[in-house]
Amino acid sequence: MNRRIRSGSASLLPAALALIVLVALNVVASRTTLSWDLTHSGLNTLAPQSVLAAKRLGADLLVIGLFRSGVGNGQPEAEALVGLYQAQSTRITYRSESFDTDVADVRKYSVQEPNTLVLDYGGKTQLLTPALQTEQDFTSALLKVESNHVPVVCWVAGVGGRSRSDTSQSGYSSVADVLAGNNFETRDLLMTGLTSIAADCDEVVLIAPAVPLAATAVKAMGDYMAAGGSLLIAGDPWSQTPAAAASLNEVLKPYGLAFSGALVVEPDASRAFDVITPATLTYGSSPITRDIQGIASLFPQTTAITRTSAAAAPVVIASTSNLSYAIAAPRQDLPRQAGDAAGPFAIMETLEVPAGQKKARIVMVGTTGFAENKVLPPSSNAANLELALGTFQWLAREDALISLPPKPPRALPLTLTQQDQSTIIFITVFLMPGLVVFAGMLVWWRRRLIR
Amino acid sequence: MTRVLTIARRDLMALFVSPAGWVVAALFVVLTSAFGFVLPVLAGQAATMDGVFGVITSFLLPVLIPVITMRVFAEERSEGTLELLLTSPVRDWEVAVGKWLGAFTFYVLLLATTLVYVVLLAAYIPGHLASLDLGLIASTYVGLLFAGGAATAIGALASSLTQNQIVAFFLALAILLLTWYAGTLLGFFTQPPASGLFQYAGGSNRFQSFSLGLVTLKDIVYFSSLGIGALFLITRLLDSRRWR
Repeated sequence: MNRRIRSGSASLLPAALALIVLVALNVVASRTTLSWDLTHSGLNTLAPQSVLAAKRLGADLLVIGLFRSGVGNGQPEAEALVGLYQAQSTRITYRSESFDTDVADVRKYSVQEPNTLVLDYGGKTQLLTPALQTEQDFTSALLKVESNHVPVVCWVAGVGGRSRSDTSQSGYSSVADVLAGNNFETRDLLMTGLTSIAADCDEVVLIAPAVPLAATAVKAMGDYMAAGGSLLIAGDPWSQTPAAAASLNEVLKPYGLAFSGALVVEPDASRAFDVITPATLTYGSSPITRDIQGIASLFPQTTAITRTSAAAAPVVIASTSNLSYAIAAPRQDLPRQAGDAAGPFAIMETLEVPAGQKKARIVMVGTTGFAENKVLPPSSNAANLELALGTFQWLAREDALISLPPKPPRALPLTLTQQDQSTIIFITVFLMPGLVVFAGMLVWWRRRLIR
Repeated sequence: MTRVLTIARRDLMALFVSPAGWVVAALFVVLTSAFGFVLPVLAGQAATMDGVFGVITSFLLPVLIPVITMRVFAEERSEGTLELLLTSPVRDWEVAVGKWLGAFTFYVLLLATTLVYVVLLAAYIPGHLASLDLGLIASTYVGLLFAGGAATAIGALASSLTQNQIVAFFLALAILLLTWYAGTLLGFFTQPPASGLFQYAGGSNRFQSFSLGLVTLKDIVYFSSLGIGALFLITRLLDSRRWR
């Protein structure tokens, strides 16, 4: 008995020691960031600008990944990216949470969408939604939280229209949350008696007023833009108050652009959610749309943006198909009739115009619905959130913070003919398993003969 | 070392002459071809090995490896040949490593069949081999070698605990599923710092870097520790038979 106990103890002791050594090794290894990026194009190697942004962090940066478990949630990629920054700075800490159970963080940071990364730098925050988790996005977010500048969004108020506090489907409360979560300061710009716009407004937001803008307000807007301001302006079709729509076009008049006021109908099912909600998958080249190419954005009940001057040279961000048409006056039946204007139509555009030493920036959208709660998470997974956020950031000139060359995709497209596909199916589904089965049967047959 | 290789060769040959070895090989090739290659590549029209690697990590590692390893010790014990082996002039660690090496070599050979898919992608992608990110593919193979090494060691450990092959299979399956997924799942339902610990200990999490093209020291240490730890335990278990 004693011999068995002694032998047993002698056997357990080395096992316990080995376990301790292996755990200790893992603890030490977990603290190292030593790694080798084997990818051809350095997919896992940060650009020098990103390394610098990480290294010069002056305080602790907390990154929280709020993920919903499931294949393709982007967590491995996002965490690998965060790991690259952590390798450059010990000030970056990361924790992963469940979007569905970590209610405290979801509420605290006003996170709208699962699989979002939150950057918290001493109370200044940036939210990186699933479509905005590239190296460029992360580095830009780092630079924004490090910067002392807080972009000010001056939101036109006192003229009716959509409200930032409205949490209904047609409200803009989600946009207000997104702006707050991304370190923007939003303040009301009262139109009543407005004669000038404060220079500290980084951008002005004018969403289809329900009442006409006063001439002094239009002039104040013009002066602000002439000094190199930024303007987000959205119109609507079939305005209830034509004078209000006309005053909106007065703001755009100096730039040779206008909202047509007609309702755009998109019969092409591949480019629409429904006939009066065109959807865009391919966008014009712009920093606003850099990350959302191929992801649909919705433009509910939109009007067209037209050019009133040949000199205007806007960048078309979103447009409708050749099949689309526009109905000028309100009517119940939407099928095309004679007199309806033929598409395609521009429904979102950007414009940069020289303004002294600076350049004024304008983003025009043919619908006030492009950023309503109905098309933003959690109601919708469309790219409208990224489109709206990108718009606010471009207008605040945050796009110029950093520009990194894009990295190639992990999987390259493959164009296979029918013949190629047949050959591949034959080799992989029939030939390879067939050879294995044949070899197995051969071995079985030989062993049978030997016996 | 010669004795290790002799045992490994003997076990490898035993797999090749057993129906189980060929059934595993055929099942593996059919699944990787149909679900890992044909569906993602032809339907998605993308030159990617992600589907193949996905089948390997979700099926070969937790399910087929226990089939490969279930007999390594359990069969010898049930047939009474383990005593013969242990009384022959070989050390316990040589038996453990030799048997692991035999099963691991079979796993590597299975893995090698997937190189056909790389060749096919290279043949059909414009620009051929130069267009494929071979570094990314190589990194994932490195990860599969480390993860597979650890999984075969765990499978062999399960086999050394029983003389019933079915029990050995289910034991290995349970341990591998726990090692691979439990950390991730528990990490989601616990609070820091426990969640961080669980997520770190989850095998699937440790494999992620490899699949992204990054060979990380901590992941190599993790899988190596699992493998070495399991082999060490097998050695101690074999040793314990002497004093029981």
